[in-house]
Amino acid sequence: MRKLFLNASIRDKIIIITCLISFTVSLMMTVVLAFQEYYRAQQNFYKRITLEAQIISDNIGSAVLFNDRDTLAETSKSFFQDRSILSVSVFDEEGVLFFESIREERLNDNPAVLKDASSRSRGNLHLETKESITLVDKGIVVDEERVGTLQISAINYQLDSIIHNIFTTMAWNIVLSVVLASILAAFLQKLISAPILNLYKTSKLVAKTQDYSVRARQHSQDEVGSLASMFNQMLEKVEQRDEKLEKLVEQRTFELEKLAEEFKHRAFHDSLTGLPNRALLSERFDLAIEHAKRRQNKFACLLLDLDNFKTINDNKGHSYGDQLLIEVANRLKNTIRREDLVARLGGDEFVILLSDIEGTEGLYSLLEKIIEAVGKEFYVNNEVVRTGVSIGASLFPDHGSTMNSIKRKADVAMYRAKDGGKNCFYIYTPDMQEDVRYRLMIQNDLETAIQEEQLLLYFQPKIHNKAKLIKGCEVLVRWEHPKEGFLSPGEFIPYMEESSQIISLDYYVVKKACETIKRWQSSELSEISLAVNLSGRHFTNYRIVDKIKGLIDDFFINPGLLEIEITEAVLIEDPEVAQSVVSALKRLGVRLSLDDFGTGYSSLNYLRTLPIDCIKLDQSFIHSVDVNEQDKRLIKGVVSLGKGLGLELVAEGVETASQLNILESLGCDYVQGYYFLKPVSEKEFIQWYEKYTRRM
Amino acid sequence: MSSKFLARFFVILFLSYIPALNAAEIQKTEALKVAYLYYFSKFISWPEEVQSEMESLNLCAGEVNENIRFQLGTIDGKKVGQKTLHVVYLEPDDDSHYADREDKNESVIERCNILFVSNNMIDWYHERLARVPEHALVVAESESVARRVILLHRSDNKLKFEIDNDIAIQKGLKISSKLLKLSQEKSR
Repeated sequence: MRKLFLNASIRDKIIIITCLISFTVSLMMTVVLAFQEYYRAQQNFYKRITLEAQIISDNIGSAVLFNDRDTLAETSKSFFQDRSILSVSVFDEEGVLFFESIREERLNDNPAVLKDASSRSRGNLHLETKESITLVDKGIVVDEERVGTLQISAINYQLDSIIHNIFTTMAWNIVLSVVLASILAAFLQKLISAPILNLYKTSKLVAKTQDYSVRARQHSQDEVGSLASMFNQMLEKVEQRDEKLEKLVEQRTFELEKLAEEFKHRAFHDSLTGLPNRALLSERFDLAIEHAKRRQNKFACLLLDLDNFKTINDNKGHSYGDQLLIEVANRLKNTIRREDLVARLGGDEFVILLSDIEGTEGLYSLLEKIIEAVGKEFYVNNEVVRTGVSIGASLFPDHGSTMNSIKRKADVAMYRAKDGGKNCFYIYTPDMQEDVRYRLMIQNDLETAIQEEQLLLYFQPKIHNKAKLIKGCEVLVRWEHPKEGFLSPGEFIPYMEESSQIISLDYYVVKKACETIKRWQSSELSEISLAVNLSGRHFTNYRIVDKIKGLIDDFFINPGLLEIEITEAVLIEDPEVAQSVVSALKRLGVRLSLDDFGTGYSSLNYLRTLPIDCIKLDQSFIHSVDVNEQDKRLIKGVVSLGKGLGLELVAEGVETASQLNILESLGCDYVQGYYFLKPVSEKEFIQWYEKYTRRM
Repeated sequence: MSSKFLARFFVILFLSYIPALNAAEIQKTEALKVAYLYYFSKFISWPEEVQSEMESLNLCAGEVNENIRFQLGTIDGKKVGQKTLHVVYLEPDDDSHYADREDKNESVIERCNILFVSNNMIDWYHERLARVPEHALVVAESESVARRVILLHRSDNKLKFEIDNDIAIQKGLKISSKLLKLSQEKSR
């Protein structure tokens, strides 16, 4: 019942409550009125019977006195006209029943009641009611003297009908009240429920449509009105927040779309130059293949590699190199046709897809245009710079049917172009495959070479100019390849530099150098230091420091006899890390030389910041020192600078006595070059050393 | 004992009780008579002038047996309204000197308000009818009594009375309708 009520609508609740109140009030009122009515009826009945008793008693006093029962009977008979009177009894002064008259039909109906009534003791006028029979005692007085008692037993026949009427009226009252209350409540409940229902409908509408611009109507200033007002305020705030959120979402969506586009662009484009990257190239390659197949013609894949870009990058810095790449990309884009595609693979490598190639003549023309365009001067950061491009080209379907095969062929051709003197192009021919094979062989055989000690150390002495003493040696590596024969560094070092194999190679060389120092410790060569060249790849972390420290400890050698030659290029990529690695090496006690000095653009800065012991002047300065006064002045300045900083100065590439003399006159401490000895094996070096020292 | 004897015994025993029963019945009737005499006074009012001169309500009775005398004694001195009922005895058969008794009775009879004329006094009453006060309520046991207002008689073994309201009116007596109602003789 309670659940039903709780689940009922407000309208129904109001009607139910109103009906309940109406029912309760009308029931109470009706009960009160019924009771009053009943009481009044009883009183009236009592008064009537009492009055009748009074009349009887007044009239029967003489009859009582004169024992006239006939008169009593006659008198009482007349009172039986009142249907309510059941019996009339007269008691004498002593209370003994003197006369009794009982209504005949009542006697037949219920003699027991009347018997009971007639056996009632008498007294002064009083009313007793038992089982709806009323007994009225009335004294019979004659001449102020009580001569007996009249007792009337009566039954209020009307009472039942009165009670019946009362209950009927009561029921009708209640029914009418409840019905009327229901009807009124059904109409008037709107005054209360309408604002609530309106609020409910509004909230439902808002929940359904999510339309927060809807407002609830404020019907009144009461609590419901306040609720509607607060609800509206809430909606307004939600609406404002929604608008803000919507704007924010729009903005975010826009940003996300932009970002997605950017990501998409980045995913398919090179971030530096904006050119398509490898992924987009792959897609376009497939399309180009489909296109060529459909048109039954050819397309060319050009693989471009900038010449000397590494040098430019090393010397001018990465930022400069990047700017140059951007310029090159722009120039390439402007050179090729609209239907062609230029992509950047990374570093200084570009790929160009030239579609609809009908013959090699057209291709040649395009290749020459590209060579010419890239070969022109570039203006980067207000500086003029020149570069070139080596191009390898391959054709679909002549040189392959897939992207990989065609690109590989272009790569082979490009290496041929590099090998062929750079700034030129080559179209793939099957014989170029040999170059590839060679490169792969070199890279594959290194591990074996290290294990089987095919790599040999060659030594070139570093001689003190004045004392003519052999101060140290630069260690250079040669490869005694079992198939290819004797390989100079230029024949395998560049391929090693292309991969991380140069690290293993350097480790090997350092280890061998330490081994040699250890071996020489017990000989006349014990004072000769060995200088080892390290690739710039070592200067991105501290592994080389740990490695050298381990070798020094393992071979228990004087770290001062080990010299590390570095170039300025090692410091370009991450100068801070590189400097800290160099410093750590210095703290091991090894000597540090700055190789190829004079070719970099910030050499002087490195002299100030790096803890180096020696400067090795690049052989390009030495080559013309005996004929070029400017070179001579430069060397003189460098010598002066080195001495001023307390550094040793080594002139590399000394080949003639004339060069030696000039260097000597310029005050250069040490010299190194073919003039004394080309790089030779340890055995040859020792033989030369012995001869040299004996001669000296 | 034979059954005949027993029957005779019970008949004799029953007959021996009859006088006793009659005496009791008579005694009761006489008591009722006296009560009636008293009750009559309650329903009858005398003329105003008589009432005002009346010191007491005198009930005169004569030639009554001891039993009635006893019964009269029970009502002597009772209040009737504002007055006191006073029983006055007339003694016509007294052995005292007639002349004295005569004088006495005559003076008494003139003061009677209610005069009970028993059957023994009918003659005596008639002889002195002229001296009976005009307003006296004459209650008689016999129809032969002149100017009687109420006749007391036995009927169906019950004591009944009849009122001659004409005479009562003549006498200036006002008889309550309630009493008249009980009376067997209705007024005109």
